[in-house]
Amino acid sequence: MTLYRQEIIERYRFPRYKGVIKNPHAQAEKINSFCGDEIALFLRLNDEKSQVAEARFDGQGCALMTASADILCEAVQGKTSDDLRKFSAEDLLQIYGEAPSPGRLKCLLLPYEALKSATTLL
Amino acid sequence: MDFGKAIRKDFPIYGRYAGTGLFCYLDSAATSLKPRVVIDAVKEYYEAYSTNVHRAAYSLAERATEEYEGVRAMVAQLIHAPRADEIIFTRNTTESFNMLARTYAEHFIKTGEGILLTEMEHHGNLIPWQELARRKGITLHFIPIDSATGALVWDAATFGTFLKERNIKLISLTHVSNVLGTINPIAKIAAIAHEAGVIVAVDGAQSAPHLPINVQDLGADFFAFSSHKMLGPTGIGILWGRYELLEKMPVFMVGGHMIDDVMSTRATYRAPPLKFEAGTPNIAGTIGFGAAVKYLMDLGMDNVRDHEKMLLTAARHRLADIPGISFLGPMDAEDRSGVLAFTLAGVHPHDIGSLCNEAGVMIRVGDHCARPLHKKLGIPASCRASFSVYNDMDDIELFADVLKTVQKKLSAIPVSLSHDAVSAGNN
Ligand SMILES: Cc1ncc(COP(=O)(O)O)c(C=O)c1O
Repeated sequence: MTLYRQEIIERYRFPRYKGVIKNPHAQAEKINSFCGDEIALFLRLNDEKSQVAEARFDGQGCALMTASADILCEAVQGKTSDDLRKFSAEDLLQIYGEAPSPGRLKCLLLPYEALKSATTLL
Repeated sequence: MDFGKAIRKDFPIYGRYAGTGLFCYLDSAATSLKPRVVIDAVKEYYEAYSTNVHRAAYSLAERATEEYEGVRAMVAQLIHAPRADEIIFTRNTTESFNMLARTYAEHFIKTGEGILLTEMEHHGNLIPWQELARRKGITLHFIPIDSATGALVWDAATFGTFLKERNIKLISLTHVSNVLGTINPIAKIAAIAHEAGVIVAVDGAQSAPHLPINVQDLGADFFAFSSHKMLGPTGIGILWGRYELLEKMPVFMVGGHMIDDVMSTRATYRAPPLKFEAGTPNIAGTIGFGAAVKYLMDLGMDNVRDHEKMLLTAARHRLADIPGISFLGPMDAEDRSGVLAFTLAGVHPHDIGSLCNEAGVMIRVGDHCARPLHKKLGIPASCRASFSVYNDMDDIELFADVLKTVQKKLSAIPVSLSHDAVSAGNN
């Protein structure tokens, strides 16, 4: 049992969705003051403004936070704002796969908190 | 004197995890493991004489009182306190500082006067003073640290003047930093402080478990530490203070056990230390702590110090060639205790902690309750391995191997292999 299966490590070292979206439709920042991790999440909608066309994250953090953000950005693509509002922490944990220890749950959920804040702006 | 594996038979927890390969405990600065003699002493109290203290009409309670009170003399001997009745039992170091802030300092330090701390304090020796400062309009000052050397930045030649100019009445500082490992020059600071009429309180949470302590040579007026970090039970701590100061100090918690006479509208209190120990104390914990003190004294604090210094030196040497590692605190093992904090470039401390855990290596990651220090160092968190009497070279080897694997696995910055091969040097 490891929290650091190959996919997580790869997404941490070579994140696919790391970057900044200029003029996003929504954007949110979150900080974990406990460890200094920070994340900015950007959402761009399609032309009809009906779905997420693109999600990107930027920031500094541990492997779990970074991989979680990467997974999240992938997962929200194509979702409507209604879908986003319904998207739960459990949904993210399910996609992530491994259940982290209580101490590390915060790392995993920081990107999720950013998504929730960003969603309120849509 | 035996250390490491030779004494692990004394620590039942090693038996529990024997053969799992998943018990490499390197977090003794957070709390230590407990030897059988401590567990047995606690158990014996509960099984053979679990009666209250200080109210003996029968022999079992007399025994409880004797055993409990006897621990004061043992603790006094450990720290070379002149009198056993200068030893106050608290819950932990944190409570000792809260008591000091609420009694001595609250009463004797006035609005507009100053208290001097350092930038390396644990929150337990910081927040009580922040609250006091706010309540009474007292100013807090801080001796800065040199981030590179982990030493306090102070000048003996001008220190006395500084204390007078800032109207400092109390210095409260740690003997040993729980992050940097730095052993502070308490005796030098205290000598100057006393000339300036300043009282010196010392946080011994990280020194009492690891160094020979002589509170008189240190020139401390107060000295606080925790049983649980020195092989004893949780829930018991010490505040030692010079008797004449304890006598002047107002009471802290009040109620039973600490009273002399009680009328319906007022009461008179007992002499120290009992006037600071309201209610039924942690009898079992205190008796267990007595067993821990005896165990440490049998090992000999000089030997404990030598063993841990050896481990520290070995650990620095073994870890030195890990790409991107940087150690916090003083270079020279003479100047520091057996806590080794570090960062690994490109690898997050929490990932290091989790991956070490997956390999059975227990270290601490985070700010170790010293957030202002980490802010000063410009890092949100660090990793910390800390050593005690039961650790040995195999722990260091395993830890170094695991850390190397973690570094290779997670380093976001590809590190050249040639760096990997550079030898550790000879520190
Ligand atoms: C230097 C220092 N001071 C104070 C404390 C607080 O000790 P306790 O949690 O036992 O009150 C600690 C331990 O964490 C420490 O390392």
